[in-house]
Formats: sequence, structure tokens, C-alpha cells
Amino acid sequence: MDRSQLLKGLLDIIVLRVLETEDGYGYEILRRLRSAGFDDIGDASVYGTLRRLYRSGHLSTYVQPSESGPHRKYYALTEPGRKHLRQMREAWEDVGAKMRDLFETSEKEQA
Amino acid sequence: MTDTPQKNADIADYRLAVERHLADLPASIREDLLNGLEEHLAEVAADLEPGVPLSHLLGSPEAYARELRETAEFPRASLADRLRRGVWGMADPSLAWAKRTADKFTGSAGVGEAAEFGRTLRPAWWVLRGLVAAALVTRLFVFGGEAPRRAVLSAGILGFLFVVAIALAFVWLSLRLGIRSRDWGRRGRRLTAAGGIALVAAGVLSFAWIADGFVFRLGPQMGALEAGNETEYVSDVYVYDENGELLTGVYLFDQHGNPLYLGEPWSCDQETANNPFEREGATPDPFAAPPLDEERYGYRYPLCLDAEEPAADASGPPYELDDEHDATESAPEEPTTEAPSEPTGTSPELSETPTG
Repeated sequence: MDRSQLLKGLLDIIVLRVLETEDGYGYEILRRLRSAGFDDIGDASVYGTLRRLYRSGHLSTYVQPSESGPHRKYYALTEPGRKHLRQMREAWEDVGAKMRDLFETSEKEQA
Repeated sequence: MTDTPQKNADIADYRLAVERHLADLPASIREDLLNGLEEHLAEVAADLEPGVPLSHLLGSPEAYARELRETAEFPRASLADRLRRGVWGMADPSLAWAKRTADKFTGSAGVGEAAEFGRTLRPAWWVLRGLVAAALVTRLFVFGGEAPRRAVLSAGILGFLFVVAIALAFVWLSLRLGIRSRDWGRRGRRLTAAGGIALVAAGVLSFAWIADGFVFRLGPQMGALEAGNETEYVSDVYVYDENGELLTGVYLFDQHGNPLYLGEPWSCDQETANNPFEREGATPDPFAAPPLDEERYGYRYPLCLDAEEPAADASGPPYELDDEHDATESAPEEPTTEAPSEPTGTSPELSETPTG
């Protein structure tokens, strides 16, 4: 199944989560996602999500020079961003628990 | 990795191609995306071996633009949503307070949270909706606008059973609708709720006459008292003293000193009318009171001065006066040329002397 549709609704929570503990810049964020196993998320999705979260005030940015190349635009969570992440995490855990129950009960019925 | 002219040209080309595919986005979003895009692409390109095009890592500019717009764009209804959120946001503190208070109220009564309690009331609302619908339909289509109470009384037991059957049918339909509407979308449920409220409002308007007797008769009112015959209204008032003499130029007040507007001055014949609205033309009357302000003193009785007096007139007053009943107790009813003993402290001043 194409997981990109499923992931699209989770992009906010995924991007906010990987920035929660450490600020990051665009391409680096994508690499963090890759190392977390999210191979289906493209660069454009990450960039688009970053800009949208920035416009809605959930992220702030600052620029830092890098030794090896162009300046990098770092993204950091704002207070509303942290709150948004907390709320979405609660929602996700609620839905996740229900989904687990749903599958477990239906498997029991089948068995 | 250092910048090379070739790499920079590749980035600029890629950005331009993406820009072309984003042309239809709202200007503010498009600019925000494009402003930072070149920096972002440069970060990505820094990872590439020299000579490898960006599209090798990122795919075609067209696909990149498609993915970008899917994630970067707010939902279409964003303006309306944001407005709504803004309004709710402003109302939030008071809404939260209202909810807490309501919860406390229902919670202290032992029925749990207010919202939960509201849900348990839903079937009761469905029953009420059905009953109102039945009442409206019965009144409008079955009895042709006649008040069901009288119509049912005259129709007897069969009519009563008929009305009960209609009520049961509509309550059943309403319950069914309530159960069904739970599966409908938000819009369907809202429409159903609005329809139900409109129906009950129509019912309240249509059956306001039930409350009429309780509510509107409390204050001074216009000729609404029913005479002995249930269907006839009082059109005039005749006051007799203990000798059976008809009193004229009488004003009526209630216990608060407010005028009683009984009768219908406009029902008199033009020529004989002691029309309170045309005092100048009033018949000269030895007991004629000075022109008084109708708003303060009400009508002057009898309204139809020369009209035939009630049939009971020939044999004295239409009722036997109780001797123990001191005439002065009904004093406010006979303000002739003298000031009446005041019914209460708030009584209007009737002691004005006639002018001219």
C-alpha cells in the first residue's frame, strides 16, 4: 500500500517531533527522518511542512553559516509548536490505542 | 562541497521549474515557499557529487512542486476556518466558564456532566418535537384552525382517540428521525435540529392562546374579560349604586390603581357613543367628569351612553347588593365629580376640578 497518503496526515507531528529535542535545517531534517525509517517522505513534503508550520507560528527560524557550504536555515519549535505537538501526540496515542484494540479484538474473533 | 557555477545554474533552473508549477497558489504562500527554496535546494545540492543534477535526488520539478503544494497549502476553507477559530478563540474563556458552571450545576444534582446529561435528554426532546408536530397538524389540517381543546370536546370520545392516534404517530416518526439522524453528517444533524427548533417555535406561536389567560390578564388589558356567555366579550360596563341607579362617568381601576380597559368603545354607534377618544363631542352630562387623560384613568363608563341598558335594568340592578358590603369599598369605581377614596397610594389623582 502507498504509505505516503497515510503519512501525509502525520507530517506535522513527525516534523515537530524530530525538531523537539534539537533544532535542525531542511536537508538534515530529512536525513533524521530517513534514519528513523521514514523512507516514503520526500524532500518537498518536509520543506512544505516546515514552511507551513513556520507560517502558522509553530516554528521559528534562524540562519547559521556552515563550514562546508551555504548558510543553513535552522528551524526551532516555538511554544505554540510544543503545545501543538503535545496535543497531536495525545490524539495520536488515543487513536493508536483504539486501532490496536480494534485489530486485536477482530483477530480474536477470527481465531 | 563548494559552490560551482554549474551547480548554481542547476539550482536556479530547478527553482524556476518548480515556480512555474506553483503559479496558481495564493501569492503569499507561493512567495513564502519560493523565497526560501533556493537556499533549501542549495543545502540539498551540497550533498551531491559535482555533476549530478538535483533532479537525481529530488525527482522532477513537476513532482516536487506537486508534493510541495500538497503539504504547504492550508486547506481550501482556511479563511472561514480561521475566522471561526478566531471567534471561538475569543469566546473561549466565557464558554469554558459556562461549561464549568453547567457541569457544577448538573454534577451537584448527581446527574454527571452537563453535556452528558444533555445527551440523555435527547429522547425527551424527540418526544416533545413529535407532540408539537402532532398538535400543529391536528390544529391546522384536521380542525381547520379551530382550537383543538374545543374541537375535541365537541367531537367526543372518537375525536379524542383520533387525536391520541395522531400524537402517537408523530412521536413515533420523531423518535425514528432522532435515531436515524445520529448516522447523518454534521450538516444533516444541524438541519434536523434547526427544523425541530423552528417547529417548536411555530408551536409556541400557534398555541400562545393557552398562555394568554395566565400571562396577559395579569396587567391592564383591552376588553379581554369574557362575559357570562363564554364566547362573547365584554363590550360595555354598567355600574349601579345601591339604589339601583345607573352611574355614569365612571372609571374603573384595579387594586394597584391602574385603569381597567374593559369593553370596546369602538363598538358603540357613532351618535350615541360616549367615545373616550372624542371627548369634545360628548353629550352634556350633569355627572360629566372633566376631560381626563385616558392613559391614566382609562375608559369612562358606560361607554355607549345612550345605548340600551342591560335587560335587568327594569327590575333594578342586575345583582343583589350585599348590605354588609359597604359601597365605599368599591369606591374606585365611582369617581363622579368628587374624588374617589383612593384604592391605593398609587391611585391617580381624580380631584382635579373641571376647567371651563
